[in-house]
Amino acid sequence: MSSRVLAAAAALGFFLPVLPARALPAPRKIVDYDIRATLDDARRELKGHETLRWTNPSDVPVAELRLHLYWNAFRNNRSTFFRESGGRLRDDQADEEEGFGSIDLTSMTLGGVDLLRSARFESPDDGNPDDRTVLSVPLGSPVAAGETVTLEIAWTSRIPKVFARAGYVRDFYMIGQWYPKVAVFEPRGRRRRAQPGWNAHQYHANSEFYADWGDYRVALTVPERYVVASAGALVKETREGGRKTLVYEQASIHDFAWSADPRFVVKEDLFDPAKDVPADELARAARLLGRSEADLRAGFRPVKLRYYMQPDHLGQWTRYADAQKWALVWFGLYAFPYPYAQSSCVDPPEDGSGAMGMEYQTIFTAGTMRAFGAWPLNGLREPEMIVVHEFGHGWWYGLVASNEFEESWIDEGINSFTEYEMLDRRYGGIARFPLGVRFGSFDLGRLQTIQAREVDRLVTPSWSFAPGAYGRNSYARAATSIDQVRRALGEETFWRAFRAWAERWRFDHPATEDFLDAFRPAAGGKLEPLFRESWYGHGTTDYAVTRLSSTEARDFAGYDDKGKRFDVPKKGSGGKSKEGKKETKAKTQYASTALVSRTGTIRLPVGVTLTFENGVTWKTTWNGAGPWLRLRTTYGSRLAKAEVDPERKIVLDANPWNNARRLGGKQGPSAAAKVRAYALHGVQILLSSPWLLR
Amino acid sequence: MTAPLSPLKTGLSAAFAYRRLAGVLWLGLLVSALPAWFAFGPLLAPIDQGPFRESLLRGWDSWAFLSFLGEFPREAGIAFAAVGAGLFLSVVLDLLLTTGAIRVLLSGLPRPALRRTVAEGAALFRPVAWAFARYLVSLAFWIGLFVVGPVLLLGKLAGRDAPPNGALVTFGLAWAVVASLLVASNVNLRFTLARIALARGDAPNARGAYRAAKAVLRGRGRAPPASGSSGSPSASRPRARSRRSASR
Repeated sequence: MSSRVLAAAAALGFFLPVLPARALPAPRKIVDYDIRATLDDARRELKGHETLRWTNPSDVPVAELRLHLYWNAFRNNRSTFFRESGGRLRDDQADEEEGFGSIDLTSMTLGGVDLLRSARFESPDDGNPDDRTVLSVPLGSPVAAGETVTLEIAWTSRIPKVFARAGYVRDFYMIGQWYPKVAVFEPRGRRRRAQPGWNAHQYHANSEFYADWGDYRVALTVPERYVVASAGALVKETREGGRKTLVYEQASIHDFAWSADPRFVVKEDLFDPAKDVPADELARAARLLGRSEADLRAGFRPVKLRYYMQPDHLGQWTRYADAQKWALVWFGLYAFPYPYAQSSCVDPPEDGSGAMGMEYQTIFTAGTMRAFGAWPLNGLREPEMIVVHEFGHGWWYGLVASNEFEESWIDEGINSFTEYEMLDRRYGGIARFPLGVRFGSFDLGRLQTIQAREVDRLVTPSWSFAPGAYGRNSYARAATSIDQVRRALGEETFWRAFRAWAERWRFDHPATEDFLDAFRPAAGGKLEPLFRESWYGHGTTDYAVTRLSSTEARDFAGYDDKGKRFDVPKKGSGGKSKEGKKETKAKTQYASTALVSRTGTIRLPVGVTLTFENGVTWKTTWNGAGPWLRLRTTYGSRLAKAEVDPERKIVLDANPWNNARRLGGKQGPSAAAKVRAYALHGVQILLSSPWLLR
Repeated sequence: MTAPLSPLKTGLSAAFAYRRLAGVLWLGLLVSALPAWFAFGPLLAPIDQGPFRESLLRGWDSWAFLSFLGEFPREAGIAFAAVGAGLFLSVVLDLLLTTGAIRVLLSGLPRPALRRTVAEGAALFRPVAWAFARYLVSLAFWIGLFVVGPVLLLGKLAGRDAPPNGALVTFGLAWAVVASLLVASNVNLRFTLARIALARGDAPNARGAYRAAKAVLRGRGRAPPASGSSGSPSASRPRARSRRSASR
């Protein structure tokens, strides 16, 4: 494609994002980056220069800037990141011989005045004197409210060997968090903040994102053999002396990442709303959201999709594309449509797994293995899950830009919730095998939730979780808690509030209370215990049927108020005949008692059913306020079963196996015998497989 | 010249001809699964009392399965141990019964099937167990020589910075699959022939049996019979027996 055509296409892509799709808010631009960077792959170095324009968004003057120099997280083993992670993250280990990386500013000026000399490193989160990821830069004269300053910054980076998101392995490069990036100056009211001030955090093992929106122009110079995947749209390409310079532009983003690998095989696809939005999904969403199909369809736009595949994964690019198109449909219906014109998906090599599964704006990394392309492992939806999750971060972190450091549940928890929903609806779960065997995504999340030993508040700074507890709390437990909200409110109420919240906070920075406020009017106070105990507490809950009895009701015996004596009727007083026995049985009343209890502090209304031997079922709702509830009834049939939460609405229930109790012997077929027979059959197949091999 | 034999056809016709014997072999599989059967009983008992009974009777329930693993990890561990025990038992029974069944087939006196199979298998168990040990060692050796070694060599040739999808590494992966299959089929064949040699009394011990198997593979030894029914009992009577068998 000629550079003129490229430029025209890119210009279209550049302006499209700022056109509101459905009168949705556009971002307030605080920053503007003009970056030039050169990759020296022999020395594993990046040399860069950026022109940073920053506008003071507050109503007070700002005397200093805070910059993130996040590759200094890999500078040595004394950084906060290394101390927190121990050099190990997401099952990947740092290479302490070649793994270290860094970023050093070589010059920084404002109007020709050197700022570097007075700059100093700070560690606002943990006071670590060895951390070099936050730089405080006094400006000489304060920036007035609404005023824009322009900084010229030059730097040199040593590229780390990839084990935590960014870096290189051989000649594969994933370059994220790579340039000096200004932190967020929060004006009064932003995320319910009382006073304006900097919100700058060090690079942590578990969090790295919070930034302001702006426009990016990035010129990358790399050896000619590299195929480059980048955020934004390619607007210009020049070649000279064995190197090529690629210029990318993207408006209205708050992060910029890119990747390079000579082995990338590029596949292209187009998300075409006219073709790719299924009519039944559109109808379902319109019904749930109470909007017209035309209204929902109006916001969609075509999106150019590019997949930068490893050669050995090439056969799986259609799996990526299918998952991403489904995500574009689902988010477009239940949150808001994707506003950008393109998206790039990077498929890292298997020896660069540290780069797999990462989110950046308009670009993300997927992850798969050769083995997932063949039976029986192709039944595992791991590649789809990663695509749906990481591309989903384009909404939760990207477009609804929460503060990952302080409220990681907003991006990881909501994103896991939407990921589970999408996988279960589209693929029937995270894994699906023959004979109807499948594992649901929500079910897996629930399992992780009830297995979490350390239950931390969801609203916990990412570096303050108990060791090893960040993942389960920020992802699975948060997602399950949101699912609990949905189950309590019902589908229609939940999704209407959810979409309204997403639309309101598009191109904005929501806080926890903004999310909870979206559901409060519909909840009418009944969810406050859940909000309090899950988001701000360490609550768990376990509903159980703890006692069950059903005995023949005794007739009145003894003396009444008039002194008349009543004797206990003798057994068999109905006569020995068949009719007599029948009559006695028909007259027999049973006093039944069921004790339902709740342990844990999350109090939620829950359904209880009593099922009698004659098949009659009696249902009630317990508000769950007290620690237990006793249900007593006298009825002409013996109680057979009591069950709490029969509709499985309490997804936070720590032990679902105690939710039912039965009286008497087995009635009907035995599920245990069925499962036992199936299990034995499975074992026999397993045992006979070595025979087949021989 | 005789027409080439189809192992599947031969095996199936033998199984139909000697149903009781085939039943005995199947019993070996059933008995191997018994530890799992007994372990699963108490393990799965909560299902009928719990809330998942109805859904499991209807079909698969993802949450029932996953929450079971989460709620009863000790019991699940016991179940896995029972399956492991079943695997071990199946290997032992296979060594016992398969050799016994070959002996019974060769003897032409297939009844009483169970007693004779077990007795004949027990008589040869020791040399067969040694043959199996040799099978495992040779499998490990040849896999090491023809699979692990070349793959490591290819990795070295490719260099430390070779991509996992580079030509040499990809070739190494393909080589590993093909070579593993070739090695396994060769070693399996030798073990099977050695077992037959032991059953026929061509050799008194594992070493001799493997020598006999080697001779067969080189076309110099006695080929196995076309089927269990071929040959008269006297023609297929073992020339030499193991010590235990001979003293019986």
